[in-house]
Amino acid sequence: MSPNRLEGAGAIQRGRRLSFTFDGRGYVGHPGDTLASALLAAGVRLMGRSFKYHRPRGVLSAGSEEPNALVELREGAHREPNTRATMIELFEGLCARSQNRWPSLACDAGAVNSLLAPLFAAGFYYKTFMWPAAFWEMLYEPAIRRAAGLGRASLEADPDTYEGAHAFCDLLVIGGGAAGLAAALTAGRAGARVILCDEDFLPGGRLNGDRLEIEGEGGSAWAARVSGELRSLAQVRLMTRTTVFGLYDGNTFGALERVSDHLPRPEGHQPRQRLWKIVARRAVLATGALERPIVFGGNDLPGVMLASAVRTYLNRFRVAPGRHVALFTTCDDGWKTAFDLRREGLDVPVIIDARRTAPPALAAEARRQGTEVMLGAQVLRARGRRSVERLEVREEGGRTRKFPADTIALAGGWSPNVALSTHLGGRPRWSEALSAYVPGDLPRGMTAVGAAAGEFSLSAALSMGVDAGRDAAREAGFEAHREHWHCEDEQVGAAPLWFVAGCRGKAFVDYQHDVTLDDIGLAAREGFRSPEHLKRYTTLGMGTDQGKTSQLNGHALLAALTQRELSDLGTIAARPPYTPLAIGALAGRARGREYRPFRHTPSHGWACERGAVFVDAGEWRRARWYPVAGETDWRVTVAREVAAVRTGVGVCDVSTLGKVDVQGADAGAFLERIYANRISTLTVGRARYGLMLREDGMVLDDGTVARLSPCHYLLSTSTAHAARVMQHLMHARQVLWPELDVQLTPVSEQWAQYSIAGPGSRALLSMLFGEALDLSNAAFPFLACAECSWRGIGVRVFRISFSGELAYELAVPARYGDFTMRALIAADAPGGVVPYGTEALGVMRIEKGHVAAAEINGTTTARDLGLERLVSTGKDFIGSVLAARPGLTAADRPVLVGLKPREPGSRLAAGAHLLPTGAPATLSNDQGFVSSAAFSPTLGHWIGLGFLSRGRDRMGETIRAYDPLRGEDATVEVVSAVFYDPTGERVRS
Amino acid sequence: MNEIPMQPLAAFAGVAPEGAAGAVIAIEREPGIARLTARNGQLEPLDRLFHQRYGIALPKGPRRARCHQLAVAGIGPESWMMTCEGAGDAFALSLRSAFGGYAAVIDLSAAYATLRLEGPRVRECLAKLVPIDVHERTFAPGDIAQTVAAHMSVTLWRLEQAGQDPPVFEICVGRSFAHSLYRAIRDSAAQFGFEFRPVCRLAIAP
Repeated sequence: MSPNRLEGAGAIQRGRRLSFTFDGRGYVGHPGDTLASALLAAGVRLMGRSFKYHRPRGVLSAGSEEPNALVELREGAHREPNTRATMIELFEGLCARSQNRWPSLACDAGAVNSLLAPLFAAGFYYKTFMWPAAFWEMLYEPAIRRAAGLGRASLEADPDTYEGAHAFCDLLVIGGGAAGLAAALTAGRAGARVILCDEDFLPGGRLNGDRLEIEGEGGSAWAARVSGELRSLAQVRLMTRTTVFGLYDGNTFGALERVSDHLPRPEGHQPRQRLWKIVARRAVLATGALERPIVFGGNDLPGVMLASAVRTYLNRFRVAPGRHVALFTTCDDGWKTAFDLRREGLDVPVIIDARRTAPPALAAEARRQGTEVMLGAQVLRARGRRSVERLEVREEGGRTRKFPADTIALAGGWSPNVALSTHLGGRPRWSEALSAYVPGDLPRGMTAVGAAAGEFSLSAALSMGVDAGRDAAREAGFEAHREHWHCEDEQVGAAPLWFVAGCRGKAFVDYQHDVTLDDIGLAAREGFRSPEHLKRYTTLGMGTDQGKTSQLNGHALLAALTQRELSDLGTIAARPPYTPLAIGALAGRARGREYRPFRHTPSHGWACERGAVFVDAGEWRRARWYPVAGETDWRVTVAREVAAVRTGVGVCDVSTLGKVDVQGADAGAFLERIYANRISTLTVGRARYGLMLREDGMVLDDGTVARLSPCHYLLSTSTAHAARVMQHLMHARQVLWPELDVQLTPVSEQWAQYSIAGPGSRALLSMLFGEALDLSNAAFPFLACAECSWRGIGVRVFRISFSGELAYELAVPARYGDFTMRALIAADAPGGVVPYGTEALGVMRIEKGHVAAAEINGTTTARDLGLERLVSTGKDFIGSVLAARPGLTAADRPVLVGLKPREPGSRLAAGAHLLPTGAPATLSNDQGFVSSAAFSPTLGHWIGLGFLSRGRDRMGETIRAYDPLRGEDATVEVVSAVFYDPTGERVRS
Repeated sequence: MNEIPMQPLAAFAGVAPEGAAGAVIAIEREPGIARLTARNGQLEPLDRLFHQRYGIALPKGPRRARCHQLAVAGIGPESWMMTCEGAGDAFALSLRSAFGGYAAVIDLSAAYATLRLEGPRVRECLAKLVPIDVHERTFAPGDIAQTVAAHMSVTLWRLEQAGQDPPVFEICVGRSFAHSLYRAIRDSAAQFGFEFRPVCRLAIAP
């Protein structure tokens, strides 16, 4: 069943077996396996097809940098494409499929693309799809879309759950290898708050993949022991399966915890993944290094693997990646691979070291083991049908030799994993000594240690980790003990070889995007000299792996082809996320119903019982209308509600309006500067309409000001602008006039407020209030206001009207809002008390010509709105200066008018353009637009409000309302904006 | 009908009690709440008078001080939120008569929905809710913060008893947001086991 599984424990639980399927076939692995290791153990080497040429591909790495072994994980709506087999932790029942192949992985029709390779060279898109232009939409784009991408999205809603969380620490350690563990333990033992994130499910990094010793203890055992101690420390959080994917401003790191990806399904209210925002005083970059492949012919055949991955599969997973493994190396480190293989009794026919010299001890040991050692040699080509069968090697002298082998291990040297150090704009520094980029200007508070800093020995990793841990602890106020762990110094000599010059066959630089040596050569010949241009022209490094194993090789080739040093070439910027991130993880629980919070009015529960239909008004859910039995058309419902208010009495919940309490000796003076109209003449017990301008002279909001006592005012704002107005007032209070004695308190949430409107409203309220308040016209005229006690509770009554009828607003503390609504509706009134919603409210305000958010839209002046008579000329107020700008006072500005269709039956829609009749519908003929429209049940036809150039001089004129969006075109008459009760008798009655 | 006294409705009305032995427990509270904002130049006499009356100083900064059932928290420049357990609508009135000359006193008892959050996993629940650090070392007993939870403005404080472990927090939000905040807390606490205890009030028969 698992022919390549070796004896011994490694880091897998051999006692337990896990069944899984790949492309429908059943296999068995163990807890501790990845999908890649379990498939390799089962002898499966072919795991996918490449992007462009559909070439057979196996696994290259044993980590998150994997470019080849991308599979679709899970089924149905849970299906996730492009998942790296090297990162998938095996679980019982796991189901994965290969992708980018048809009909099957072994026999793929798309492989014909390989024959067409010349067509798919670099810049193929730009050259091929340029002309004829008309073909783009018809032909090219659909074809490219079909061919693009590797996996298939499920096209169903993501059924998984995600959540966000926040964490804070003195020290964030990124990476749980030797250096990271040492840093975390040092700072953690001292008492500092430490978070260690490791993307693997098993901390230890190379300690698990290599045979290393610390103080005589096996490296993986040491890592397990240290992890155990870290888990036991109260102030330390060890987060496995967690990738720190980005660094953002304010020392904030983004990290993705794969909470349930290793389980068949999430357990007990756990999300699938959790997105962490981690704010860290200090950070230690202990991300290690990535081994580089070497570019030669046929280097993408299954069986070509990174040498470090070969060791990981051997030592950690107890899997033999092959039986006859040739090693192609440019560094001392690679030789360990051969020795580890031989220890397992596997054949290593040849070690090809591109360097002319290698440490004699290594060569002697290899030869003693019976391995042929070739120095100064290079692999020209790997050959085989679906995987490696043999290789061709060029000796130093130039002679070519062939060796049989089923696997080629590549040790092209190590690149420090510096990605996170560049997310805030830092650039890595080229180290000639290491032939690699090392962290350059590190972000504030970040220290790089171990291999991430270009120090590749274990002893350096440990001591740098300890130092960084101590520094971080000290900064947090803790003195840390200087831990010391003894270990042998390894040999870390290296000389780079990026690609084999003169190699034969297709040689891949970027496996995932099928970018070859030839593509880069072509780009260089066509004049692309910058790595950023090279990237975009060839798509080098633009795959989901972001070119982790390919970028540098490609740049080295470009440098060689353009006769430059790599240090002069520069490199590309790595951007977050470090590894792919599900969009769902970014959204967290804020989707669907929880996309944003809802606000409920105090009568919400009652309205639900009543069967109200709701509308989202910003965050508010407001009752739009209240259908009664038999009403199937909302227009009928709204007409009934309007008629009830116009003839009887209706109640509307207007609690959503903003309310601000203003107190202080200078409150009046303050408001005088805030409002465009006079406030100083407002007496106690009276309310007034108020208009606020922005500093730039545009209208900010309208509302009412009520004077409750000499130094106590209550402001109301529109629902839409409540927060904006509060901000405006606070700015004025705190920044513009801090010397004024004014206290501002937002009280919107404190009060439930109901509009009680209609000719029957006085009778209704008088009955309910009894002796509590005299509501007669003489005692409580239009725009009166009062505070009184009603049934033991302090309430407020305002005689204000938005509907144009005799109306009151009653405010009660919000917790009594439900009771009050029920009491109002239950009250005995002729024809009943009818609740009305926002739609009827809107119809009546249009009938009355009151402006609302559609008119106060941030681009209109008081004059535009027909409110210029309100604007005081005898005082200074916010916006007074800039409101006088010539552009805002121009005679031809569109101003508010009423609009009435000439044909009684024709309708009007907001958004329609206003044009002279007979003129073509062009922008130059555009004279304004319809801002609000409604069918008026009171008048029996459609009415509208709109802005029309010189509108006030055009009363009675016939114009055209043209609405191409809805395909409507009507002739309308310009009329007064006040359609109903123009003299305002009813509100005063 | 006029004689029927008004009956209040809890901010979390409609939310059913939930759970039995939660590791995060949310308990609805209905303290009397008032906001005090010092009148210009009156901070000193206000401070003195406050100390005389309650024996505690007005906190300067985001701290909360407590005197029996009454607590006062700094929530803005020369502005405080005062709460009183078990006090009704009269709380603000009594404060106004005492401090009205030196501060604007506004009744906000009905403006907020308040939950007490406790239980052994309460900090882990809060980590999913608010973007602030509520660790023992940074959010001490009596600390208060104005922050956001699931896109809602909330005020969060830790009750004053020192050395309380696990800690007890209270969170309040504008009353209209009560149900949205409830769902956010419930979802954040679900994995630990969540319990909700609504306010118990004797219903007054109409």
